[in-house]
Amino acid sequence: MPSKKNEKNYRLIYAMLVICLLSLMFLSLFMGRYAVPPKAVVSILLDKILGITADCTAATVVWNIRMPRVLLCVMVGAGLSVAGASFQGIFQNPLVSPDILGVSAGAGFGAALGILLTSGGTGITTVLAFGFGLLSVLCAYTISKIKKMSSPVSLVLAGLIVGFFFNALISLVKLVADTDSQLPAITYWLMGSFANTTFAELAVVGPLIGGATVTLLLLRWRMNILSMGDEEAFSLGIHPRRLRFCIIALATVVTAASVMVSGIIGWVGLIIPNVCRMVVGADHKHLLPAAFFMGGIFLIIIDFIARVATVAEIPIGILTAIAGVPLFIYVYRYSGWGS
Amino acid sequence: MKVEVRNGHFSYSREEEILKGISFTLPSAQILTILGQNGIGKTTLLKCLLGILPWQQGQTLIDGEQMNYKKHMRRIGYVPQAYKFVFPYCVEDTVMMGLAGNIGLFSIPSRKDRQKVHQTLAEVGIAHLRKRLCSQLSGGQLQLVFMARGLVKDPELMILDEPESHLDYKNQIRVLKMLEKLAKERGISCIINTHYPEHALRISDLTLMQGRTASGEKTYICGPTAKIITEATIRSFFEVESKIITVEKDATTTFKALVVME
Repeated sequence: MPSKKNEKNYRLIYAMLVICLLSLMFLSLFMGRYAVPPKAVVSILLDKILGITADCTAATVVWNIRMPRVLLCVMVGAGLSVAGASFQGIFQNPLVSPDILGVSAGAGFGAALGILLTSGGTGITTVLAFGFGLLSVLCAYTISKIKKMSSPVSLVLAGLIVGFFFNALISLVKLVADTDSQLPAITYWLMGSFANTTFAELAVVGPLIGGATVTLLLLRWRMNILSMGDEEAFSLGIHPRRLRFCIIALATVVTAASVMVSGIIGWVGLIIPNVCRMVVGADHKHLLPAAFFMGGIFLIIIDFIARVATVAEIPIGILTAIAGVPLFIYVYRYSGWGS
Repeated sequence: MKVEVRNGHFSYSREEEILKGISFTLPSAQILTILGQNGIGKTTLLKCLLGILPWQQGQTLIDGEQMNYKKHMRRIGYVPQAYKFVFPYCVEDTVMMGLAGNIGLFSIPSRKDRQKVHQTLAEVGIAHLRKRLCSQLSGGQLQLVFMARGLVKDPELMILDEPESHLDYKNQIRVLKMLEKLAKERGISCIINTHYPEHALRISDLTLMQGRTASGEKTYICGPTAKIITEATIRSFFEVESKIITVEKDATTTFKALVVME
């Protein structure tokens, strides 16, 4: 139960989250299969900032390989958590995840189709993934509108239908794909990975994820009102439908952009908001910023395990699920669900 | 704020119209109570009036002009029946939501908004619950929280759905007195659904009673409370035998009370 002293505690919580995130980012720069001492990392970073080009393996590893990966990882983790927290708020359900409207299945299909058509050409694959991600949510939205009295629940149901449909299409693509090259590529892509991230990729998704996430953060207090239900929101002076549509669009951009560069990474958007709700409370004013930092922290830890634990990288989607289950059980134990 | 409903019709299904040709006028700073049995359409009437449900025929007029959501909603406080919601917000955050119409799309509540909330909590008498989670409150306490949420935006019209039904005896009287005070001292018009004719007698200027005719048709009567709540109407609308008596409070003031005779 929050007490009076809690108001001051928010600052402490935010400070701890920021420090934790920054130190983990720094840690990931010098730890890994190719060891770079912390001092060297600092000097490489300073060199890069000052514009001095140092051509050694360590500099390439830190700046060209690890840096974009760390940045993308934080961005995707933070974005998915914020999108998840927003969806949970506007659908009034703490068990909703950002891909509930079928965006992951749609983007997965787009990517699989791209790999099938181009045998791995990244440009078209990325565009198709993003495009089909948006399209699937649009389909869900349209389907939910065929009933006269549609509610957030009908939107979730429509999302499930669209998700099933695109999953079937993914299976179809897998069936006709070349089993030697294309099928492994599709399978591996669907499991998610941050390997081989480049600054060029970052430049494409950065503005998409960043812009949409920041806008969601700005709308955070309004989500409190939407989470009370449509009738309540209406009587409180907020037009629920328009606002909900905007939030869905923004969260969908975040999720589709994440999936297009890193594949399907489940669980982050479902669990992190629930963990944060236990720490800072249900008020979206604090929940969203907390989810932002916590999502980044969670995914950076998971990605670190993905690249260090074994010689061949473990796809990150598998690890988030494995790490997510015990976390979820913990949240279930200490939350009010089902009681 | 003057409220007028003209020939309002509404039905959820084709079989039966739940509201049939409702009309009434509530002058500024007066209290209207709506009485009727469960399921007769009291809450539906409030929702149609607010625009949460659309009138299928007829309209709501505010100060003589057609009700406009953007223009009028921020001057209307709505207090729903107490219900549990999904996320456990604290009392302060819940009451803050009443200010939604005044807080910008991308903004969060300011210090001034917070002070306003504290002031309203004190007015309603629940300042001590400020940081409690709504999920831990009793139904009655939650009702007072919703009351504060309706009041926080300084409305000119309060619409309350059974505000006293979850409360204990002491708090029932407190809420009734508060509503009387709002109307008299701050000129706030009130529309109240209630199950208690004696509460209507005590505080309201006008009463609307919903019921059915002997053949099962929907009907209603509306007018000054003293004329509407009579032994005869209580008998025909509620099938209860009662007696209405006049009690002297002091030399100058009297009030009417209803005694059940069964």
